Amino acid sequence: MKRHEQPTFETAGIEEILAFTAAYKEAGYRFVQICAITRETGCDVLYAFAAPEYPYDGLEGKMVFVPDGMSIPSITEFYPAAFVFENEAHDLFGIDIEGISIDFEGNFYQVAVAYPMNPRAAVEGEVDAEAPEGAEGEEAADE
Amino acid sequence: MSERTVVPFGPQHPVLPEPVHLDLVLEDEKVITAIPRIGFVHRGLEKLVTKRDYTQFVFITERICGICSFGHSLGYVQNVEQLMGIETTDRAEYLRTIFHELSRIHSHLLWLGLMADSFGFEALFMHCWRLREDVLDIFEQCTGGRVIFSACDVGGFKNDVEDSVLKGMCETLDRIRDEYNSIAKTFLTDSSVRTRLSGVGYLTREQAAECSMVGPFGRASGLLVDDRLKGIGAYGDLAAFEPILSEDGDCYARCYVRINEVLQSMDIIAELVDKIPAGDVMVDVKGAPEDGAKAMSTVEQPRGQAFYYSEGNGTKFLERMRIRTPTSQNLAGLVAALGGCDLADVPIIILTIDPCISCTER
Amino acid sequence: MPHASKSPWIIHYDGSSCNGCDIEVLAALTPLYDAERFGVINTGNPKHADIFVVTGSVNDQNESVVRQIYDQMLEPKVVVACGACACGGGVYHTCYNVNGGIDTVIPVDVYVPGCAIRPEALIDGIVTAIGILDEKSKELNGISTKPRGYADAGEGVYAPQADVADKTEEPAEAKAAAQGGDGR
Repeated sequence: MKRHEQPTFETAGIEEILAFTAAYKEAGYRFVQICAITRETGCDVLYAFAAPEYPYDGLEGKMVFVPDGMSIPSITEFYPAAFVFENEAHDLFGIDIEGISIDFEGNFYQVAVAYPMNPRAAVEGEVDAEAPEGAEGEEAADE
Repeated sequence: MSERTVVPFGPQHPVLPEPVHLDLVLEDEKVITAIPRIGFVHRGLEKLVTKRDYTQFVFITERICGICSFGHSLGYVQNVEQLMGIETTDRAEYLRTIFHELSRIHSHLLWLGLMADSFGFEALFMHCWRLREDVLDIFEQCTGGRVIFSACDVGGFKNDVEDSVLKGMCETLDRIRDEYNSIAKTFLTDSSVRTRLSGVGYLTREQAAECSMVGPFGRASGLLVDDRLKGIGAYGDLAAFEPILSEDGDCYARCYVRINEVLQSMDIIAELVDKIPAGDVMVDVKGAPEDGAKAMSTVEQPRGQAFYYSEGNGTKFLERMRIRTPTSQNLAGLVAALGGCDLADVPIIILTIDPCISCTER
Repeated sequence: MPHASKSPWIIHYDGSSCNGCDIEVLAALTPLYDAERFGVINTGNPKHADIFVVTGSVNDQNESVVRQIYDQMLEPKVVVACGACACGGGVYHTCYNVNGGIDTVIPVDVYVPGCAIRPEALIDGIVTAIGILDEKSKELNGISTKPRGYADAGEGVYAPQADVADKTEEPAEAKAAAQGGDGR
């Protein structure tokens, strides 16, 4: 009985993102998803594409490492459906993505904790936005 | 008149049981653009992998969404089996596929009911949900649960289902088939339904491909997207499988595709029950995913392709679990379909993508 | 089942739930379970509703929506928390974006367990809520559960009484204030 085959994962640099996306688009590949994975000094961003023809079991993954503080270009000009995932990567992981077609600028999920999936960014976010309020609350409780 | 008005839609809206918010930019009665805003149901389930090990996480994936519950547990366990190199038994794969198709019937009947309700056909809504109860009875008989029933597990299927019960399942489906056909006839031939749905929310095949649409939403525009064609598991043993497509690309076509998929699922179940091999339904699962192991897989859920990605770190807790659901993929298509429609058609168009918000937000 | 003098109208809001309970709420209204035989009608307008059925837990974003719907409902009103998530967060209680059950925001009268709830359990919960609704309504009117405007011994004669209307005003507010404290 046929089971899922082990897919291929290739690594690529930030500067290659637009090039490989354009190549996939040209070859008729379907866009599947973008997701981020927290690493020690940044995040890996996984772009997944699927071949246009059935039957296939070939999902192709491109892993791009994004160091903290770096931004990456949006691929929404090739695949409009990517706007959901790029906003998500920004809201949950704190990855800066430039030029998203529908950019919510951090208001897509509106989570209680800033960048909850990325421990390093989450600390920053809390210091920026929520620390003063929390501190006051604690003082009031002490009194 | 070119003055623009922004009309908020949701989060509490009678047409959807779920909270979703859209900002509709209107010019008179025409929708110019629609901007979705979500976040009402976001729970952060992907982060729970750090607190629940890979066997416990099956229960979390089932609760991503109560409608696609089985599809999510199926996708997850297949993905983890791929990650750990586990091969489950053939009987387990058959049972999974049978229950997955039953879930499709229940999900599509639910959708047909909501659709009927959205254009004001209350009686049709009630009939669809009445038939759906027969499918839920099968779930209850086999697993004890109605909507969330924890049947899948890493390594196989929790409890075997006896052949006599499987036969009974086919008899139930045969019994409801006639009633279902009369409902389908109402949907497809009744003039009030036709006039309400034809030509509404039209998307061409090119637009569908451009927006990377999945599931019945894409298939209604003639896009060949159906991951059952991959032939994973028992799907590979089907004598023939032909996805249901329509070239019309409007709300009526989306109805047509789903209506026929229910009948197709009934046929698939009958065929698999005939062919199901005997044997165990569970293999031993030991150890933990290796450090750095990665797995990527998809499964065709009632709403379309769902994507799973997992990564191991040598412990029982996964490093990362990614679940991409069909509705999040279809949001771009929804925005495209809403452009230029009438304000009064907005609820119908939103419904025809069969939105599952708790899936989308996880 | 306690004697109910009115058909309870419900309003349903889905907090951050998985849909499992929501579809069971709908299933309870459809032919097999048919909660409509108790006169239960699902309405979309908070001002029309007597019973507030909430599924799912609350987060920062939907907290205000839940509170708004509750505040808009008129006295007497009853809140039914449906399912494990609405009762206390359920399987998601450790998630970063989940604050807990509905009772962290509004007072809850009936807790219905289950993940997902079964329609039978839901109907049982609604029937319990009808009893509580009747009690509240009696307290509120200070008289029997006859519709307002009917004199107590008026034998069905319509006799609007100025003092009845006056009487109901104050207890309504006092009740709402008291409820904020001990909802359980």
